Amino acid sequence: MFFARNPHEKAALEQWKITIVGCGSFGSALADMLVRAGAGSLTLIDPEVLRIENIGRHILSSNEVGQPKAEALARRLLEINPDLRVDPRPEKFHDGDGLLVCCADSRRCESMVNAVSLARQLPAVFVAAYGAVRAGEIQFCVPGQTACRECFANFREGRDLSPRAEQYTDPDFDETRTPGQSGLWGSIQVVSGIAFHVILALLGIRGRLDFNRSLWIVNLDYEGFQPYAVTSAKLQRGCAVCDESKVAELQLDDSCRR
Amino acid sequence: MLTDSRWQKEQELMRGTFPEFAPFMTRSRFGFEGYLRGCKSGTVYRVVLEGEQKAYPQCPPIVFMNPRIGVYWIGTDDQRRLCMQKEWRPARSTFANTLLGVIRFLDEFDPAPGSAPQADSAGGEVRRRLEEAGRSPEEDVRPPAAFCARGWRLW
Repeated sequence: MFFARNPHEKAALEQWKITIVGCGSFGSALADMLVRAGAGSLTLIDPEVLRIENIGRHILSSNEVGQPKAEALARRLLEINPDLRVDPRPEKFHDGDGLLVCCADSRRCESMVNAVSLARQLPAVFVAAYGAVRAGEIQFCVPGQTACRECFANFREGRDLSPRAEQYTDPDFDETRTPGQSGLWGSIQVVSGIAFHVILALLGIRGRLDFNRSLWIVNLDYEGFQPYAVTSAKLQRGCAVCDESKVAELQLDDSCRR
Repeated sequence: MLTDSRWQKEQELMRGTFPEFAPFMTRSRFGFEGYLRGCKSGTVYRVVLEGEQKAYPQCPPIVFMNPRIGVYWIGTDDQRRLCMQKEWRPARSTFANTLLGVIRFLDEFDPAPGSAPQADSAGGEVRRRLEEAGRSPEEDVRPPAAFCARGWRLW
């Protein structure tokens, strides 16, 4: 039997609907882990098609190049577990159900997922990397109990990292296209693996989470820090998106830049 | 999704900073419209900031302008909007911030006196809406006011 060695995990996981937003590196790795653990119902959302340069950091293969990521990933997951209920949506995110897992490489998409999480009172997990995958970042959000994604965005963007030199020297620079680096796929799987455990804990399947420390950072390549060190951070809860009382504090912000 | 309290606050911020810009609300969209005069050319620019009720504040308001200057526009025909490359923070950014960005854009790209900015038919829809409301662009120009007093050289 497929799940003979983890029946309890499967029984708990298959009660949940899980929506994965972004079927790229993190999204595909997490989907693979979730299905092997027993997830019963997945919705996969991604408007992009698989490109050849994605293959080095993705569970799909060159056979699927040119196909919508969501649909190709759905077929691959059905090969792992034919009983999986999977709903591929090759489109931009509008709505989701169950646990929302956002692996999209887009701030705007993260904001939309956050808004749906708050409006529908759905838990959400955001998985990302920054600084050319020099650090991984996992944030879990439980409406009313933890900071939301915008609470963190407020904090981070006020203290943003230095811009990368390439953005001034490389005419083809695109911050959403992560450059290759040694061990990239391994780094993505490390971060995805931790995110997978955060998801299990969030669903009450394994481990416990401190809701005050809802941000996890994984150092992948920053010198001076222990490689692969994981730390959690306390996030201040409450912003103009998740707390109506904070809307009154909005003001003209002179920091806007063209 | 736009909430009542957010819309009230957005209007309050706009009234306090750009009182000449009028709010509007349709079934699915909302925003502010008004005029700015280029500080170098003296050209009057019609400016519309428009958000989508179901996507605000997650998505920033889009900026329409007529006439348009330069090549900083994306989209097609009447839907061409200013590409602002500006960070948008849903929990901090507002329409007033966006309009401030537009003013900075004009401050930088409004052409020198004597050279007319590139005008085109885009924005005609906005102009029609204004004419239907019995207002003329030239009557509705924002005068030098609050921002001049704070040291902004916009006029």
